Amino acid sequence: MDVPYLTEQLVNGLATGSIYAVIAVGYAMVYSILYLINFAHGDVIMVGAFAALTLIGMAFPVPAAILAACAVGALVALAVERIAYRPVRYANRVVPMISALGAGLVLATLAHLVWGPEVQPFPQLIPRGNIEIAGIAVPQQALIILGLSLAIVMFASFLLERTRLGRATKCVCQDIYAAQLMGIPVNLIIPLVYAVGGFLGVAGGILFAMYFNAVFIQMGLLATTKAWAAAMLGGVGNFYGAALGGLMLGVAEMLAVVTVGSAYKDGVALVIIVAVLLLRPQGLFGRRVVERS
Amino acid sequence: MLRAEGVCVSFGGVRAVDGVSLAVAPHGTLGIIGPNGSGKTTTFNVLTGEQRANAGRVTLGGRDITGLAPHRIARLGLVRTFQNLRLFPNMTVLENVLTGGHLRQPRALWRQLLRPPGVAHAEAVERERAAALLEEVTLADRMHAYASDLSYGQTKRLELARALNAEPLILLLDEPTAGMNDRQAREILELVRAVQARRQLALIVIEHNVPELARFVDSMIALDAGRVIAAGTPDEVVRHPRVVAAYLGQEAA
Amino acid sequence: MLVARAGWPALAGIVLLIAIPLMVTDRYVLYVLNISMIFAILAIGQNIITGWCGMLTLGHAAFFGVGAYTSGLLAVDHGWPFLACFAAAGLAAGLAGALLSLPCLRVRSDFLSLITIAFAQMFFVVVNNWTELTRGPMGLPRIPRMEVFGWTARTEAEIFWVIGGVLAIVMFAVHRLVSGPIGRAWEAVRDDENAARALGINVTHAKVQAFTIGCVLAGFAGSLYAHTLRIVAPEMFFLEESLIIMQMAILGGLASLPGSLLGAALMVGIPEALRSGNEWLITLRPGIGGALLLAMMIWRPQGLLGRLRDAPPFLLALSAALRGLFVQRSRR
Repeated sequence: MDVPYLTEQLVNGLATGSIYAVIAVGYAMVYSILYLINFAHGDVIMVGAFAALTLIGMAFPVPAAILAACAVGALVALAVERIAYRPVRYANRVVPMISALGAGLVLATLAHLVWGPEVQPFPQLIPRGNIEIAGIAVPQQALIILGLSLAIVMFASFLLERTRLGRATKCVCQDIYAAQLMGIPVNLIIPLVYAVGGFLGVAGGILFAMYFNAVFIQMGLLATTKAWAAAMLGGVGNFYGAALGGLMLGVAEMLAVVTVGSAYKDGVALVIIVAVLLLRPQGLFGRRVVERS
Repeated sequence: MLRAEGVCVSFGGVRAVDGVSLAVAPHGTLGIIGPNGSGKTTTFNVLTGEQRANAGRVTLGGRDITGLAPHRIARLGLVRTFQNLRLFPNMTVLENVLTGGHLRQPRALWRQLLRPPGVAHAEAVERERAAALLEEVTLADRMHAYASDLSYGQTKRLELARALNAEPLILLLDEPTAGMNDRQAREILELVRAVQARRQLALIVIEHNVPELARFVDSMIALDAGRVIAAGTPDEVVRHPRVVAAYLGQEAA
Repeated sequence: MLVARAGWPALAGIVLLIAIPLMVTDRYVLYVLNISMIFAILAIGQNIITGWCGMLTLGHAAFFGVGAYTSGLLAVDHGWPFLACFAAAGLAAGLAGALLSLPCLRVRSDFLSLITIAFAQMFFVVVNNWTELTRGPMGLPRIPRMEVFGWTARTEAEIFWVIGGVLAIVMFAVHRLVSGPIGRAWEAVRDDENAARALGINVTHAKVQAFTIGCVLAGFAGSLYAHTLRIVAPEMFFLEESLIIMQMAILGGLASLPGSLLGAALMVGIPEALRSGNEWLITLRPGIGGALLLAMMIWRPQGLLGRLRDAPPFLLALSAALRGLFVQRSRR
C-alpha cells in the first residue's frame, strides 16, 4: 500500500474523471430534452480544441483564446442544430442520429483539411510539479484541472438552477409540448441547450488537451465513448449523475491501470456501458427507462 | 368480459386515477366521459398494460391481467386505438391493416424462409381479409397509399380497420372523434356502431362528444379528477347532477 | 415455379449472374464487382437493422470482422472446409449480435448505437492485441480459397459465381422475410413501437431478431471477404468501415433491397474508379460521406427512406434502370 503513489494516481484519476464529467454533462443536457444522442458533440469538441490551439499559436492571451474557442464550439453546435437536427426534428428517431453522424463526419473532414491528420502538441499551460498536502506530494496540474472542471460544472448547474433560462430548459426537459403551450420559446431553448452543451464540451476538450498535451482528430470519438459511459453510469439525462459518473469513470480507469496495466484502460468505459445496461439500465441516479415488453 | 376494480394510479404526488371500477359485458358497450385530465386515458392505459397501476385489479374473461405486458394483453383479445393517432407512416394503408393481423400470421422464421405451401396461401388469405376490412371502412380506394398521405378522417378509419384485423374480443377506442366536426363525428361513430353490431364486439369508448356517444352505448361512466362520479345507463349519467356540474364551464355538449 | 413466384427480374438477375463473368474479361473489373457484392451483403444486413427495423448500429464492421476472423482462423488453424467456415462465421457473428443486443434492447434502443460503437472499438483492440490468436496487426495470411464440394474457385470469374450465388440466396431469403409478417413487424416497430405492442407484436423479440439476422449476414460477408482477399487484418474493420456501410445502405435507400445493391456498387466502385486520381479525394471521402448522410436525411421529409418515389430524380432514374436488373423490390 504505497500511499504516496496511490494518492498521486487517485488525484490523476479524479482529474481525468472531471474532464469526462464536463463533456458528459453536455451530452446529458441534450439527451434529457430530446432523448437524442448527439453524435456530433465529439466532433464539435474536437474542432473547438483545435481552434484553441490555433488561437494560442497566434499569440492570443491564453484565457481569451480559451473563451473564444469555447464560443466557437457554441457556434458550431448551433450550426449543427440548424443544419442537421432541426429539419428532421419530427422524423423517425433514427433520422436525426444519422444526420448528426453525417455532420460529425463533415466536421472531421474539415478539421483534417485545415489542421492535417497528425497529432498536434498542445502547449503545457499549467506547470507540472507537485504540491505538498498533508505531507504527501500531489501533482499540481491534476489538482488544478480538477478544480477548473468542478468550477465549470458548478457554473453550468448554476445556469440551470438559478436562472430563468435554466428553469425554462428544465420545463422543456419535462414535456416539450406542455412547455410550448405555456409559452416557452422552445425554438430558442433547444438551440441554446446545444450551444451551451457545445461551449461546455469544448471547455472539457481544452482541459483534455492541456492534460494530455495533444489534440487530434479522433479525440472526439474517444471523448464520446467515455462521456457516454459516464453519463450512463450516473443515469442518462441526469446532469449531476453525468458529472458524478465522470469522476467515477476516471477513478475506475486509474484502478484498471494500477491493477491490470494501461493497455486496456480504454476498455473500462466499454465494460461500464455494458455492465450498466445489463445490471442497472437507469444508472445510479436516473429514472427508470425499461421498455415494457 | 372486462372488469376493473379499484384501479389507482399516482404520478408523483398526483392521483391520476383514484379507485376506478368498471365492467363491460361480453357483447356490451361502455362509454367513458369526463373533462380533460380526469384520468380517462390513463385508465385505458392500465387496461391495456401500458401503465402500471399502483393498486387495483383488471380481469379479462375472468383471467387476471393486471400488470401484464401490453403485447400479451393484446394477444388475449384486448385491442385499442390511440387518441393521438399511431399509424405506421412509412407503410401503406394495406400494410398497416395487415400488421393488425400479425398474431394470426405464420411468424416462425423458418416458415417464412421456406414458405411451405400453407404459408403462401395464408398470406393471400390475409390480404383478402385486409382488403375486405378496408371495404368495410370505405378506404379500399386508398389501399396502396402511404398512411402518412391520408386525410385526418381517413386515418381514423384506418386505425379502426387495423384494430379490427386483430380480431379483438374487446375493442377500446380512445376519442375516435377527436378533432372532427359534427358531421364527421357522426359518420365515424356510425361506422363504429355498425362494426360493433356486425361482430358483436365488446366495446369501450372514451368520448367528448357526449350526445352522440349516449346514442349507442348500453352503459356509461363519468370520471372527474380520477374518480367515477356516475355510472349507469347513458340517460342516467348524462343527467346526473355531478356530471352536469363537472361539465359546467365547458361548452354544453 | 420458383421463377414464376419471384418474377422476371429474378430471372434476369440469375441470367446476369451466370453471364457477367463470361462476358467481362478484365480481372480488375471482376474483382471490383466481387468486392461490391460482398459489401452489398453487408449493406443488406445493415438495412435490415437500420432501414426496416429503425435501429442505429455502428458495429457492423466489427461483426464483419468477427465473421472474417472466425472463417479465416478455422480454415488456417484447424483446416476446416470452406462451407463449414462460412456457416461458422455466420453463426459466430449472429451469436455475438444476439448477446450484444439482448440486454440493450430490453432497455432502450437508442443505447444500441452506443453499445455497437463500444463493441466496434473493443473488437479492434482485442483483435489488434491478442496476437497469439489473431496474429495481431500483421494480419492472418494464407487463408485458403473458397471451395464447394471439392471444386475450388480459382479465377475471379469463379469467385464471382460463388459470391454472386450467396448474394442471390441472401436477397431471395431477405425478400421473403420482409414481404411477410416478420418484415411488417420490423417496420411496425420502426414506425411506432407502442402501436406495434398494442397489436400484440413482441417488440424486443422483433428487434433482437432483426439485429441478429443483420449480424449473421455480416458474418457471411466476412467469410467471403476473408477467403477472397485471402488475408485479414485488424485495420480492415475499423469503426469507420461501419460508417461507410451505413452510407451504402442510406445512399441506396433504406428498406430497399435493390437500394442496398446500388449503394454498395456506387460506394465501392466510385472510389476504385477514382483511385488513380487525387490523393485528397481519399481525405475527403469521410466528409463526402457525411454530407451524403446529411443530405439524404434532410431531403426526406417526415418518414424514413425507402420510398423511392420521394427520391431526388437522379436516384429514381438510376434505380428504375437497375430495378429491371435485380430481384424485385420488397414493396409492391
